[in-house]
Amino acid sequence: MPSRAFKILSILIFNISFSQITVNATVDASNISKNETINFKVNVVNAKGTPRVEISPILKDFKLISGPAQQTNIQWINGEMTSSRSLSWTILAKKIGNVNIPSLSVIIDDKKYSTNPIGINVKKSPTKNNLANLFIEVKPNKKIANVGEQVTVTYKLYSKNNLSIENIEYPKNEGFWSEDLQTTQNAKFRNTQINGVNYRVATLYKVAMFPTKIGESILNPMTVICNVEIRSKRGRGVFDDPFFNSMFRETQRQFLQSESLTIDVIPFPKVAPKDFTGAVGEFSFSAAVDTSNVRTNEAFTFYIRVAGSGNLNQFNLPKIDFPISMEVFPPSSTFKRDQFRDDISGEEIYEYVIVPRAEGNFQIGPFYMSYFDPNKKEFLTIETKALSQNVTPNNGFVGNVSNAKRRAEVTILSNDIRHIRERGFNWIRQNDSTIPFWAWSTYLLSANIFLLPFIFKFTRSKNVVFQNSKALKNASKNAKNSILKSKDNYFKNYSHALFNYLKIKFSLNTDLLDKSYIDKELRGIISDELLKEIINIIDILDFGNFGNSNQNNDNIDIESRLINLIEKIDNSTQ
Amino acid sequence: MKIFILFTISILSTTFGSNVDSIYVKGNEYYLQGDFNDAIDNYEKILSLNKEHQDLYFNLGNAYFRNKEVGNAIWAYEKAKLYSPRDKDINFNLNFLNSQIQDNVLKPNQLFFTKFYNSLLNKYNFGEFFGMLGITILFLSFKRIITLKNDFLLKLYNFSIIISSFFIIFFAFSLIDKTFKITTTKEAIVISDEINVKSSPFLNTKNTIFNIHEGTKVIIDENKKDWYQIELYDGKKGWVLGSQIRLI
Repeated sequence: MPSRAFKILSILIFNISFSQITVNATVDASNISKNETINFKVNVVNAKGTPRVEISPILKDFKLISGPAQQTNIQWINGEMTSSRSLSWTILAKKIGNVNIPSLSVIIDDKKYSTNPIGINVKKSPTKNNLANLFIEVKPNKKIANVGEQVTVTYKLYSKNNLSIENIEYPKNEGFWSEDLQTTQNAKFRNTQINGVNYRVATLYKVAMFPTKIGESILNPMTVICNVEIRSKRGRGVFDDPFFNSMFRETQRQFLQSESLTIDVIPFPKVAPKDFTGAVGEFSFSAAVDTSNVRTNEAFTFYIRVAGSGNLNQFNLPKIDFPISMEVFPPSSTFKRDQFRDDISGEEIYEYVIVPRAEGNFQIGPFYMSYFDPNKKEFLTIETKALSQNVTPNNGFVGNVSNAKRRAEVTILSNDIRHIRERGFNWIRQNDSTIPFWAWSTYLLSANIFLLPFIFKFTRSKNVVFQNSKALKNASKNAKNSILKSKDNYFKNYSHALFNYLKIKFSLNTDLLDKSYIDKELRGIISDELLKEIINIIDILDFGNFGNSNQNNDNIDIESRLINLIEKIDNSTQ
Repeated sequence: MKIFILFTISILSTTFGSNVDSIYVKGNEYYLQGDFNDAIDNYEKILSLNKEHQDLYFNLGNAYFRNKEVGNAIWAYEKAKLYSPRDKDINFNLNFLNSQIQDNVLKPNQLFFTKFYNSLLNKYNFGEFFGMLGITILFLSFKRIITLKNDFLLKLYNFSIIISSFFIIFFAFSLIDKTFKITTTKEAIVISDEINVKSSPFLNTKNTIFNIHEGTKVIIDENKKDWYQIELYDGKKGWVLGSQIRLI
């Protein structure tokens, strides 16, 4: 008994382990029309591991729509186990005619296997004339255009059946600058008739395209994946009734591709003017300022408006030269597009901030712009009005700006230290006090100011008379004058003149002028001989003044002696 | 005899002065010729003759920098800054060099007022603070000689006296603080490429606690023979050899 069971088990294991691994490739249809998808399946039987399929060789002729989808199947037939794994892809033929799915390499458990090649016959897809059930119509508004001229392309989906759109792949075209006019994810269908056949139609995509280079430019196809409701193929039966038929519908995933189109881009018929910067369409050109009266160094705004239809937003303004004394900052531009129109139209406003650096009356403009009118097939030049800008002086601003030029910030190229100093200076002794003279002098000055009232008080109490240098200088002169001009009371006047002279000359006290005081004060200051002569003359004057001498006769002698004495004193004190 | 002595002294001082000037001019010439070593020698010679000036330190800093001795260059600029704290060229070069040094010692965050006060203290030297105090005192002293009869002017003057009194207190405080800092805080600049800062004042491989690099400014805490205890502005402390740093 155990030996029999062992035999069965060993046969079973033998069968499984030694089962041959087979790989084959299949398609669901080998005769298809273009835009019909194929289900390509690679089936591996008796493989233990997961097969890996190198799919890239088929991508040359086919487009991969989805996949791979994996499926595993195990079957027991007459006690024999068969396991199969399959990988499937949805692919789409790129061209018409006989297309081959080449042999693909499949790697299972590090061993390499090959699939069988499959031939596919791709027929041309039925056109409208053939009344296809589902197609995309591509319609450009023109097939020949100039560079920069708008070509509007409309993509419409026609269907006899109900459908829902799963995905739309919008075309990407080289050689065009394109702007979407309408894109649709939820298509709105309406009914229409083509050759008496009812269709449902929806506009999927509308695009404005502006060719950028001369020559034939190809519009790439648009691809759409949709789920189409179709009636089930059922045999006749009790439910074969229009009412019931409507209940038995199934959806089929369909792949659609539009046709490729060629647009012929032709050069301009004439040579473009120098100031042409690529504007194609119909435009108007105007300029304005926010204020026509400004002061120097105060900013104002200058606007340039380009309006119309055409390739707005795709060309630059021609070079605009402002008066040299105006500093112009780079402009900012805003583009406003008119909605709900197939032509790209609207207005573009350029905003310049300008700071006038010099006063005067300036004219801004006129500025010119050239564009190509595709309808008239010629270049046209338009211009702005000349604007007058009055710039008055700005007194609040200091600085010479009469020859101001456009300036830019100085750019540092590299960093380095600043250069040495070579000027001369006074050396400082090391560790010396660093307090400068001005700092000390403030203290000295404030100390003086504090002490000044005390000094005044002191001088007043001591009756110190400050010498008037001017008076001192003129003392002898004044004394001589008063002596010579005396007409009467000679001795009194002489005495007065002498005392005054001595008072100023030697800073004597006015109240105590007598000969003993003078003797006391001047002893040691002047020579004894001179002092003796002074005393002598004072005596004579006193005698003459208070005595009865003949003044008229003596005065001449005294006068000369006095003048002589004053000169002697002057000489001795110099 | 007296006249002779005075004459000799004046002649000696002029020759000595002109000698320093000629060394300085020579140093500048060497610098302009690109001979930075000789320029440094000349400038340092003037320092050894006990003479100094902010311009001398400035030029010395430049010469050291050109000679790729960043530590010594920073030292020279720091010295120049002591004399002329607001000199734009000195500050520019010092900032330029400080941006090139390897260590980034972060100072602890300070309160706004402390920050303001410290920046003010660094902006003016001792003499200038002394002078500012003098000017304020001078302003107050006018009170003794001016008698104002206009009420408004009198009020204004009295108010300004109150303000000046505050200034006097502030300047006096700053002056004391500055004096205290000058006399007690000693700073130095690292002049060696890299210093292994030791935890104690002797050479041992195991007592290295951190490394600092050329140009870093340190505070000197203590001195023991050849060793200095240094403190970084972020609070790290250690011992280095005197030959590795240069006192400002």
